[in-house]
Amino acid sequence: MSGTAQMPGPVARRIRAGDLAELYQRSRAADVGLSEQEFARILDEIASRYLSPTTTEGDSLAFCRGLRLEELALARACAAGHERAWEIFLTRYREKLYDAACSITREDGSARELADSLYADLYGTETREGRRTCKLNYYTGRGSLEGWLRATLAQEYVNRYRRRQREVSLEEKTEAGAQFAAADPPAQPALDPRLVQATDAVLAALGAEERFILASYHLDGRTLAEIARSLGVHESTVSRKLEKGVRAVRERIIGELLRRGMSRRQAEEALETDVRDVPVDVSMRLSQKDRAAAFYRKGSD
Amino acid sequence: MAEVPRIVRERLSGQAEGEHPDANLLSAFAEYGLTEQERRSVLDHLSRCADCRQIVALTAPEVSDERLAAAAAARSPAGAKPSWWRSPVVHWGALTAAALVVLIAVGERMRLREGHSASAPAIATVSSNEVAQKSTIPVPEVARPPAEPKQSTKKLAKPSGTPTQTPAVSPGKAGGVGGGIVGGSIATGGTGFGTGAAVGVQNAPTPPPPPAPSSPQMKMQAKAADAGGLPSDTGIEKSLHKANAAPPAASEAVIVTHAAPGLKNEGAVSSKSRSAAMLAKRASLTASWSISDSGALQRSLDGGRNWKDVAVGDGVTFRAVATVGNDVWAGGSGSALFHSADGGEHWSRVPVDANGRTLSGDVVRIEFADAQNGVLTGSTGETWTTSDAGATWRLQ
Repeated sequence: MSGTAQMPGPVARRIRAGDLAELYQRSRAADVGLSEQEFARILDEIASRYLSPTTTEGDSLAFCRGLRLEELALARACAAGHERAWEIFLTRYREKLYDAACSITREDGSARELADSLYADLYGTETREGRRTCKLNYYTGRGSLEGWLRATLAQEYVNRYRRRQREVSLEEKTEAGAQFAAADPPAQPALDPRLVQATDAVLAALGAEERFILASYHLDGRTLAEIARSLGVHESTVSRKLEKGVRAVRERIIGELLRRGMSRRQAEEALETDVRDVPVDVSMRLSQKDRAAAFYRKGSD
Repeated sequence: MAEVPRIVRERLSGQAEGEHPDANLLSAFAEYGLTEQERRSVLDHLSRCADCRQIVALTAPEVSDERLAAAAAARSPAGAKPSWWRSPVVHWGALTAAALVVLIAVGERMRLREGHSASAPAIATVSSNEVAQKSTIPVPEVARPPAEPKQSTKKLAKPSGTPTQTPAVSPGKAGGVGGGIVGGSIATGGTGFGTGAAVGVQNAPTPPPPPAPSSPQMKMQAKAADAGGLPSDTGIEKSLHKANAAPPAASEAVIVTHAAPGLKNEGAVSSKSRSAAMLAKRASLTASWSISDSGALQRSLDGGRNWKDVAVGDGVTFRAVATVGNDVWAGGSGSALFHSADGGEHWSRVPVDANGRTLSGDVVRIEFADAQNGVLTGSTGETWTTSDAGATWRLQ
């Protein structure tokens, strides 16, 4: 390749031909049947996606060097239908795909089904506008190919779960409407709007990491270890941040409620005791079970 | 753990609006492979999106505590910007001061001894060789003037000695890159003592480039820290220890310097010519190993002044190197692992597989306790061990 040739795209064109040749060599794209032009086009597509047009040559090159070039070349060569690439892909990833599916579904049958479904998408059994659509074309080399496969499997799994939930709820709805009209849910006591506003304001002001930790632990039921793993920090760090976060949220909400005109005691009560949690059945309390007692007249006995 | 009020749980559970990050970003997030800006953006989405949180939780590979520590170190402010006490100026200053103190003490002792022998010549005559030998004992090797015990303190204290004077404490690139790339030694600057001692070798995946490194050296260090390095704040001690150690007992994961066995006890050198010959020999036999910014395996035979790429594994991007004596192990992209039994002259590719399974991802950490027993870690978190010098491997 000549020293003046450049990458074709708008962003990555700043990368010099020599550097491009080095990237091409490092990717071993030639081994899986990709030409340097094809490889340059792929890099450009990815660079256009993640970099701004004003990115400097150095940053563009550093970005490209940071990609999983070999795995990227392999994935794109598979997508392009190169036999050799598929051989390598199957050797390296087929079993891992099933293992990952097993770890996600925790059940062998579903795991096979999930992995097979993804495998079909990877192979590109569907066609769109006359062209085979292969999911491997979406891999950009930002993380490992194995990690991307796991994420894609997990996405598919979550999507299936959501779809199934929607289907079930529709059936229930139909059924309920036809024969078993569901009873109206008991009326919930209204929350003080100031509490809702204060909570929203405090949560909106939380940092992303704080909110992630709170949501992961208190909503998703993740363990400290799992959260720590996601964030790349030690478990004790998560524990400390969680304790601190809960305390801070509580204090800030109370502060917001004070600003909204509540006394401290009212604010603390509003936060601690959700009116919806108070088991008071008003209708039951108002009903009169004992007629005689209700119409008791003095001296009737 | 304190419970949050119900209202907080409810308001927290609202779904994020807008587009979800794709599998590329989510997997890179799980592997700590995003830039800081991207990470913040994805984390913000995750904090509001239960579905994506679940995907990330299902995507995350099993990782060790060490890797978590490395990832944390890579993102900590200390990882991005060295603190003042880790600056090379402080390192060199402390080292110089220590060398000065020792040399003054030695000089004083010699002066007293000479005065004593002049006043009482009949008692004993101390040979110059003996003086040299005694004078060198307490002096740290980094500042020790070979066979020149009466050299001026100014000259002795100069930290950037020739590589032959300080073979194990590789200045400049050796320290910085080595500490950074895998071991994660921080803040050695251009002349620091980074050691990739086995404590901090980690396997975090593709690192997010830190915000605008100020120099190539810093850039490499920061990159390395992102790659999973654990900060080593005992770089000087380890370097000195390493300098004085004979063939290393345990592998050094990054920049590894090993001296030829025949040179390890050359403490007493009486003549200048012999010293020069020894130093030349030492320089020729001392090899430092490192990995360049672009992932090439590099060797320096002059204590880190000049580095040359070693042609091993065409197209492999190296991410870890370790040595034990003459054995050199280097690994990198595509599960590549190479071994040289003769200090890097000849190489062979070593397959890492067992029971039909092969190592996946990149080799990001290599650690050998001795010539036989080693551990290597892949970028996907897999840990493989060998107890027969790499002939067979076991997946942990």
